[in-house]
Amino acid sequence: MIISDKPLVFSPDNKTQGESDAARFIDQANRDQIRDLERTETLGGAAAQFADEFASTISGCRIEGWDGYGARPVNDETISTAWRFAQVIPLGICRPSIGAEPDGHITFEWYSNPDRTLSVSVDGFGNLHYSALLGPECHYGTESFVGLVPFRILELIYQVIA
Amino acid sequence: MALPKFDPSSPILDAEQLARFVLYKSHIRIDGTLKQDAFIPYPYTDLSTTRHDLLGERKIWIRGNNVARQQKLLLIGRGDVCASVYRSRELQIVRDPIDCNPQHVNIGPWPSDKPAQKNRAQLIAKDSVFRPFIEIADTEASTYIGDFVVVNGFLAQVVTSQRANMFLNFGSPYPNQNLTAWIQRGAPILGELEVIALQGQRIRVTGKIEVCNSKPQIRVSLGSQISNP
Repeated sequence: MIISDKPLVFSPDNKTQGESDAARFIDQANRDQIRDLERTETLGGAAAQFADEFASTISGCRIEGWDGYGARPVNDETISTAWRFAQVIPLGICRPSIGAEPDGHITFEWYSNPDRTLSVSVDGFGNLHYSALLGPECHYGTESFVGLVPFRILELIYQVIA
Repeated sequence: MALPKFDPSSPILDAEQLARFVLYKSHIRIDGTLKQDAFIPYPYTDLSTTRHDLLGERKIWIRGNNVARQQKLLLIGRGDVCASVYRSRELQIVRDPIDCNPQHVNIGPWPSDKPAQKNRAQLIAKDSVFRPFIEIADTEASTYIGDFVVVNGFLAQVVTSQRANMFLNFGSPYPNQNLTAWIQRGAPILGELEVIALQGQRIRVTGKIEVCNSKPQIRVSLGSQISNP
């Protein structure tokens, strides 16, 4: 089992920006490491369970009014963005629980107790709207999703699950 | 003696509870608390809730079932929140009686920007109490796998493992129990002695029924999940 109090530096969608042989070699080595980790029972099993939860949660909110109050259905763009976001959550961080909001956004929640929680809403335009409770402190805002979990959100995840 | 009649114009006191009916399973966490998702008001600018005033448990659930039936969904439970909680978050409670629900009220106005709206919903969810619609006997637990329920049953055995996890076996001692309530080590709830004192009594445990070693199980991480009937 991997125990770390800091994010691991690689994540499944991390790509090197370089084109040299060395850059490609590092990229391939990174991918090999990820694949090996995903084959482990601890990380691979958790990933499969997470994928199941993602699919079953989303399937329940694909129709108009799925929450009983006129909610908008979750659309394909939002699902695609949310899945890409899920894929770049660094390995070693506990998986969030998946939900949906009535405006059709998909939510990822890291929860320690009612006073320490972080909710991130993903929309179809690449926005990550977040809100965190850390005891008496509240932090909220919007970050753009450009292929990696924004540092601000990573920071909050670690504060919630610490 | 006739019961007092509900007056829709009666003042909504700070201590009055307002119910938000829950019809979507993923709005509830595994420990039986509500996520902020359940309190986001979209597509309206305010949040639809029902006053408890003079209704009583049975009628509150009838109101919830009316909402569910209209939408052809199943009622899962409700989130009760004190009027003072909404007010302390700078939201107003506006009476909006409708034919099938004279106790209907709207909560608003909500901030228009999404992060601020989430923050407010999160603060309200923190102070909400989730009440599942279904209450079952421990003998029925295996037929409600995956559901959020209140289980009412006889606590036959309390076992503490070497790793300090506590297992509350309902109906009969292990391995013939009907249901196990599992209190994870370090969960900030009742002390070990208080839990042991419940042995031999009928108690209620609230949460999502999962399966562990082919037996129904509820994970307990909050003290509010366990109560005496």
